[in-house]
Amino acid sequence: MRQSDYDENLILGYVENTLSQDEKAIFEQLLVDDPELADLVNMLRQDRLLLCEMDQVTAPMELSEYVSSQLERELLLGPLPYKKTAKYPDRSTPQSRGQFRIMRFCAYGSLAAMFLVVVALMYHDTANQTLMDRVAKLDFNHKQTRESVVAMNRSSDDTLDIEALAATPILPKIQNNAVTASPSVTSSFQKVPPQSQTPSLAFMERDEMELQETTAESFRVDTDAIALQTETLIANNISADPIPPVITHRDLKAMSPTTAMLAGESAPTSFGTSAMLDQASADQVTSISSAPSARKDKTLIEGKSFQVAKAKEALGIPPEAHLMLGKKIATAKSFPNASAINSPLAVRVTRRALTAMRPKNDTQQSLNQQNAVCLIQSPNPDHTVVQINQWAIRNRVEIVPIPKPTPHKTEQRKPLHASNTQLRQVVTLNIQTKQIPVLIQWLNEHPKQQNSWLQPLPQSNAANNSLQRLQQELPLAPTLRLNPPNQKSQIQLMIIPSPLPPPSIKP
Amino acid sequence: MASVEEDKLAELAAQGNHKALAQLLERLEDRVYGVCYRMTHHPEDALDLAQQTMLKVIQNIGKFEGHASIGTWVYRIATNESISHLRKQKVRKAASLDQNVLSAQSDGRSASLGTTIIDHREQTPDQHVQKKEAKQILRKAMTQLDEEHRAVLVLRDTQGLDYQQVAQVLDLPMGTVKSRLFRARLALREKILELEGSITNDQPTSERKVTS
Repeated sequence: MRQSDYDENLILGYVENTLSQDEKAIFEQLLVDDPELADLVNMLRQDRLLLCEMDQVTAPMELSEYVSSQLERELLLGPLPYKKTAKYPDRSTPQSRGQFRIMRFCAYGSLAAMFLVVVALMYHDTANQTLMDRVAKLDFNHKQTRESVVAMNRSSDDTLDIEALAATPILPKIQNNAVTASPSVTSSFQKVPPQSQTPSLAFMERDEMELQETTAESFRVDTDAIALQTETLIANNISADPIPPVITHRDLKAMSPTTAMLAGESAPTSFGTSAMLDQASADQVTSISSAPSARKDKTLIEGKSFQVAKAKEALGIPPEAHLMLGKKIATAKSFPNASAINSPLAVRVTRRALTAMRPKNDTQQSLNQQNAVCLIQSPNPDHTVVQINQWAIRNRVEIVPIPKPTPHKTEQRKPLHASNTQLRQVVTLNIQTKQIPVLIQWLNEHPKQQNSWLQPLPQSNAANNSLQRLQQELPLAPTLRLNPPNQKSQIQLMIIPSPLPPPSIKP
Repeated sequence: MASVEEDKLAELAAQGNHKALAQLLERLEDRVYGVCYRMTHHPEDALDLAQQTMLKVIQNIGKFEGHASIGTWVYRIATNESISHLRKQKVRKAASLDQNVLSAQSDGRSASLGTTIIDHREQTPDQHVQKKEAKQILRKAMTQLDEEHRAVLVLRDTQGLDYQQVAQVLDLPMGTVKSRLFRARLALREKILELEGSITNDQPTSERKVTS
């Protein structure tokens, strides 16, 4: 019988002499029957006896000294710091060296895996770049464009004139921070392709806020706006009150030189009525804008005078006023030498006030006669400018940059007067002919603002019905030119504040 | 009786009594060194392991809760330290005195102090010599056992712990301890037979050496 056939606990008990007497007797009987098992058990007992008889080992003195020193140290220095054995790899054996190699391979492998993950993530980000990401990337350039647009809108052509006017003693200093827009910004705007102006809603909202903030910071003086506003006011007053108002010299100081000159030269600015106010203002501005070329403008004024006369006839206004206005405006070049006209509608302005003005710098010259000009009367011109800029960007219409004006070093500038805070702003759009109806429609969608086209609109020769329909809706666009649909033309949008309500008339 | 005194000393030492701790360590150091030596069969390694064990006892005596005897607790620390050391040095060929003796006998080369001692003791009666040789072979066989088998044999036979104490030291169930002890004895027997067989094969050479 083999050893495995017996209970190992029984054999172990017999070897270690832990069996009871009965168990021991039974097991000894088994040993008699199985000599091999008996030999094995005897050998195991001998081995155990040898192990038990192994010499008792006594600890060397070093151990006692070490224990004593450690105890003394603990007694003197307090609790012993827990000594952590260094876990440096043991490289003394081939196995340990192999383990070290394995660990090294694992470390290198983990580093390589991390590198691959990083590369994969970078590739993934690049490959899955969305359109919004690309638009966001264009955000910087676009922002520059918008800023440059704002700056350029403020530094319009007539800024030179405005600066010159601001240098005059009667006008306060102009805050023309926007005028000093760096050429780099303008150049960056010109370099930006139209595709980069892809609009997004969030982008537009943000830019609108920026534009509002910027315009609030630097509100620029625009004497033309004051002039036109004053003229409109005068027209309103005249239409409401048959007695012409008398503008004093003090009031004239608050106006632009243009207004003062108009008042001094051709006081009868009273052809506006409630029915034909827009048209009258348009005619007036048209006449004013044609001041540099008197001959041409004279013809234009004569062409317009028929309509104006019709309107005045319907309203009961004597035609002499209009004729007088046309006559005087036709000689606008001689503003400084003009004299006041004795008219019941004339505004009395002293010569002293007139000589303090600079008629050459009248901002009416800034309106390009070859371009279509739309006079927009808005209760909030700044907001309207922002909206126009947004619309231009949204429809990929180029906003014409305005060259940097030359500074006037010799002239002193005075701070702005509080009454000159409502100004005109001009936005020049380089727009395709086929996009003009869209612009007109968009402009007409704003009920609070009044749009008056001062110059003929270019028309597409593609039989654009919508343009014709819009032309019917827009009677103030007198003539239309035929241009190819893709031909670009410039349209100047001149935004001025809405006229103040007429003063109440006491009977 | 001694165990009860050691437990009292351990209780005092856990409360911060350095004198009790010194007495306790003085009582335990021989047993600690014995376990380490029987486990490693290397005096220097045994000393290092004993020092580490004593240091751990000093550091952690405050954590001793008295669930087992202090002797069992210290045995456990020493055994674990020894097993860890043996596992680290498992393949290392420690040049011990016994190895030199056996290798010299197997290789037929006489060398070192061990051979000289054996030669001197062979002049004693045969039984005594056989017993000494058996012990040498037993030591050699012990060094070739696994750490777990070696630990259970050392704790049970050389240190005289009972099954329960061995189970506490090794943190094993009682049945596992018995089974492991039986298998350790069988493994030791096989190692001894292997060593005796190798020596028997080389016996003429060694006899020539002894007679010469």
